[in-house]
Amino acid sequence: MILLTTTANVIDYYWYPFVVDLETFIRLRYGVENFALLLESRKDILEHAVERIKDALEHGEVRTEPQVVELAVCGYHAARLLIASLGDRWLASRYALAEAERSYKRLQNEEPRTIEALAKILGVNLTYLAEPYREPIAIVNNVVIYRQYEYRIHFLDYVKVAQRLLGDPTWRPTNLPVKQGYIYLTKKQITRILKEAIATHIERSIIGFRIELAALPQTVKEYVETVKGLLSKYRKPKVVKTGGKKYSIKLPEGVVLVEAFPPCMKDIYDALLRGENLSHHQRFAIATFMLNIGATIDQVVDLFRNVPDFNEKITRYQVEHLAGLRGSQKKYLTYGCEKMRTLGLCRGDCGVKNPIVAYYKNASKLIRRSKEKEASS
Amino acid sequence: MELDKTRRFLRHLFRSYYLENRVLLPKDFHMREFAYQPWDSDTYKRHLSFKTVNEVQRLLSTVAPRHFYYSSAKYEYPDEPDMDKKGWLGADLIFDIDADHLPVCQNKTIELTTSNGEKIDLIDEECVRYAAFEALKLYDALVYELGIPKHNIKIEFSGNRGFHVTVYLDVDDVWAKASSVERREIVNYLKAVDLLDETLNPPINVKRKKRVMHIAPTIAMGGLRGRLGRIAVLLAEKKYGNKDLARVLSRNEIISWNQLKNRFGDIVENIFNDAKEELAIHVDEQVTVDIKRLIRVPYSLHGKTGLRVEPVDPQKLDSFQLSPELSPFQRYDKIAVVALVDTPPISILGLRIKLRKGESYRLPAPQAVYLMARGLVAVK
Ligand code: SF4
Repeated sequence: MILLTTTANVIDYYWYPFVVDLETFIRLRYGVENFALLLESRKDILEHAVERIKDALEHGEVRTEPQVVELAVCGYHAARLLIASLGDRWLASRYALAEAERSYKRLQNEEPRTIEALAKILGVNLTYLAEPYREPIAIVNNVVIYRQYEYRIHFLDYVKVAQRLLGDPTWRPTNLPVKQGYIYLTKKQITRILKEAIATHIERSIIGFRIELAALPQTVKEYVETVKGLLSKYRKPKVVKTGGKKYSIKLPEGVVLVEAFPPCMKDIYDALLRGENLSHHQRFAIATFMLNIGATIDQVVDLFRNVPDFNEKITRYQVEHLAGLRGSQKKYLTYGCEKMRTLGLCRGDCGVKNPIVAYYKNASKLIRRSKEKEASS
Repeated sequence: MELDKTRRFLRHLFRSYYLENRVLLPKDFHMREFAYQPWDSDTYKRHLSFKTVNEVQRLLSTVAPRHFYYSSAKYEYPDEPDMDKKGWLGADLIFDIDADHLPVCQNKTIELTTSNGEKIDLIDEECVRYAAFEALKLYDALVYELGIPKHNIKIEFSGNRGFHVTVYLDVDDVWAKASSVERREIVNYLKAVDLLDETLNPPINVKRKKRVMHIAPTIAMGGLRGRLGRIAVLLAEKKYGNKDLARVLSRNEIISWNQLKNRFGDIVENIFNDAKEELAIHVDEQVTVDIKRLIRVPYSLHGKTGLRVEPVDPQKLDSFQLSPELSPFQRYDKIAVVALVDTPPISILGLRIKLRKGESYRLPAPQAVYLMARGLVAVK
């Protein structure tokens, strides 16, 4: 294996192909500049790339184990290229998460210097503590028992990388040892955080991959088609049923008029259907909104089917929780407009205090209009 | 807008203040946007920028504005009116603690309607002391938990009923570059959002439970445990007046609950129960997440009270109270005013008073100015 960067002896590219700079790699390894052209003569790489994508679609995790490092590295980058050419946001997220899942398996057993080096490449500023930070938790048999933390990360770096985990209280800084601007984490926690960082890094590198579809060699184009086929096979878009036939201001349960959504909710709704990976706040907002305007649990769960990390069991559990069927038994209200505004999710000035009110206002207008139409026709 | 007699009078007083007093400007003031509200208009004059302190003072002594602000953000072009072209470089971390947002001060306001139909509320003046305690908790959390150097943190009485806590930052400081989303997480953390019981009482897995002694939080612990320890010290000292206990708790020794209770009795439990209630620091989220906020200039006057925006030393927060000394007009002669509304008994800067519409009063200048600025009385 050629030494590509100083990190080569610390980071095993087989497990972390995303750290490899593609251009440098193919120049040194094959003496070529154009990756697409290289692929034309290397169907094995393309085959392997498709394997990786298929794993992502099927298992949510890349499982295939190529024979050599070179195949892993090129296969990963080829998969990126294929997905980028397709331009599907959902697939990009799904694949990124699946690759992160693969790396994560290995990451849990890595040495501190590897974890540090990887973090650095991912732009996460963390430090391994030769002497762990210790928090006393109790005295047992007259001996003080400590919990140990081997890593620390700056508060702001933490909230940046852990953004999508923050919906879970255990990941909130509130419940972590915060000291002098740093958050202390165990090895287990730090690897989980890095998994997030890997997924984000890969997703960005796919979205940022600029490709001229027309300029791709024929062979590569054929593989793009293959991926397209796979995608439509695995991802049957599920669209929430909207509206029944009978309209009345008091809408029966399960009747949801998407046409009456205020702009903020319409935006999140559309993003969900496109399969974009949404923030915790966005998910919370749309789910509570739908539940409060009379959508059923199934309708809300269905809406999330397109998100890249969809897991039916977990989603159902969470939605049931929001609906007040579990835990505290309290039905969650949706965010008010003011909160939506501070979250940067407001998309208009509807002259109301709560998106629910905007919905009913719009709905009754719609209904009146349709009645007028009926009357005049 | 034609100025009425009272407003002309207030403007005159403000001008006399600014002719003799300087406001306090951070050294990077030339990178900040300034703004003010004049007496004769409801809109702000924005996007001003100044190169020298004298220019600022000249504006103040000619316009004598009702409210005067600079931006928490620093810009490449502070006077550019188009926000997108201003060239945002970074922003201070700012916190607003307002007494009427504190849970203990709910229902402690008196609602009044001024002569021009504006609704205002007067808060129980005691509540400002709760706000001061909140500011002290915030100061400690910033220093010990978030690692902000003490000299970067400035606290001011807002001129009304709360405190502003500003962390002054160089534009290339990591905190200065924090986005709204990240600042929201700072707020969530300070407010102890989603605190789990196991965070304060970490579970321990051993076979023989009898041998386990649970320990009290110490001031050196991380996160909310450390905060709990520090608040307990403050309460032991200031609220319960138990210096011994305060000393033990601040020694940072690992000590079991049993030992503590044996030595000090039930007070330990009371203090920690109170401390738990005080864990959340009530800052206004909207203010902190805004990376382009306008903040009141220290030593400027608050147009709704006539009080100075006054820097307060963190050590002196616990003795802070609303008093005529916060008014620059303390040494002025009494002022004759006419009440514009009826009020129940109210307390203004320590003076108990009940206004009857149409009646005349001769009041000490600080209170007279306060009531005029509030629109409750007119100058005679
Ligand atoms: S005003 Fe309210 S309902 Fe309308 S877009 Fe904003 S948040 Fe949504």
